[in-house]
Amino acid sequence: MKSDQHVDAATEAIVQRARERFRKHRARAFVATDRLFVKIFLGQWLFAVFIALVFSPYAWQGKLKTVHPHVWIALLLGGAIISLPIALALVRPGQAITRHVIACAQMLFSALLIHLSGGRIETHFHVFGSLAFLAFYLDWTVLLTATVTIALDHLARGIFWPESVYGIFNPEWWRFLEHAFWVVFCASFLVASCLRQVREWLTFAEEGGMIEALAESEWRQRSVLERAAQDAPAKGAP
Amino acid sequence: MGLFSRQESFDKAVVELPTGELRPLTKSEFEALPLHDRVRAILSKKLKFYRGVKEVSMKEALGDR
Repeated sequence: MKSDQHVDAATEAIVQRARERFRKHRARAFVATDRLFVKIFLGQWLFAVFIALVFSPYAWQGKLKTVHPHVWIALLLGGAIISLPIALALVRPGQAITRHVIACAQMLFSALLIHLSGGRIETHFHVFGSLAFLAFYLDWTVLLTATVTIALDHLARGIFWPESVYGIFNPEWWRFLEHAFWVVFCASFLVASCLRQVREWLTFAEEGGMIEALAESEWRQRSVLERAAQDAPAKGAP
Repeated sequence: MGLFSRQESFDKAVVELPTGELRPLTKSEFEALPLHDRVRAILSKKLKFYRGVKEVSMKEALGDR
């Protein structure tokens, strides 16, 4: 019974260490991706201002030349979109709320860039690139948040401001579904990849546990043999 | 063995249950067991691995990944 208790205790300890290894590995990925997005957001913000300056630097009020509203939108709205996710990434790195806010903000930034380019179709590709970056989290729920965010954005702007998202005044009512379909198509492959990678990490962590159990088992056997060898000359002595 | 094929370290595991019964498992069935059960079987030495009909050591079966 005592031996069984030792085995049970060792088993529990090894399993806990394997789970902790898996948990720490995932946490490192979450924190590293949060930090990556801080850089992405700042770079995108500068790019948005540059785009606004290049495409629509000036507006006209009669004969008066003023800075185009798009420049202010890029600067102020863009800054507002990225401020909360950057703050969360710095003060709460690795937390679930942080990566979901980042996913939402990244899609809103795609929406901003699409608007700044006047609904240019090529700018929509930013959405797919963003999904790929969000897949670095290896958390499929983040991709779900991103997909829902951009679908709702396209639905709302398609109704109230269609030229902002499609570049035309009268798109078909179902056009947002067409865009959402391709986002779901892309996201589904990324989700499958995330799930597979996480399963691989879990397998590696569990294999580490089994190797640890093997080492423990060999150490116990060696200890028993060494003790037996030490005891044998003493028993044999007159 | 082909150029890109890799010999598996084991293809069968036999676990001794608390009742004394010996249960054979394929590699995938063994890997699907909860980690707790696999670790306990290793520590209590109630586990044997085979490649074909030949028994392989635990070290060989679990060490080669």
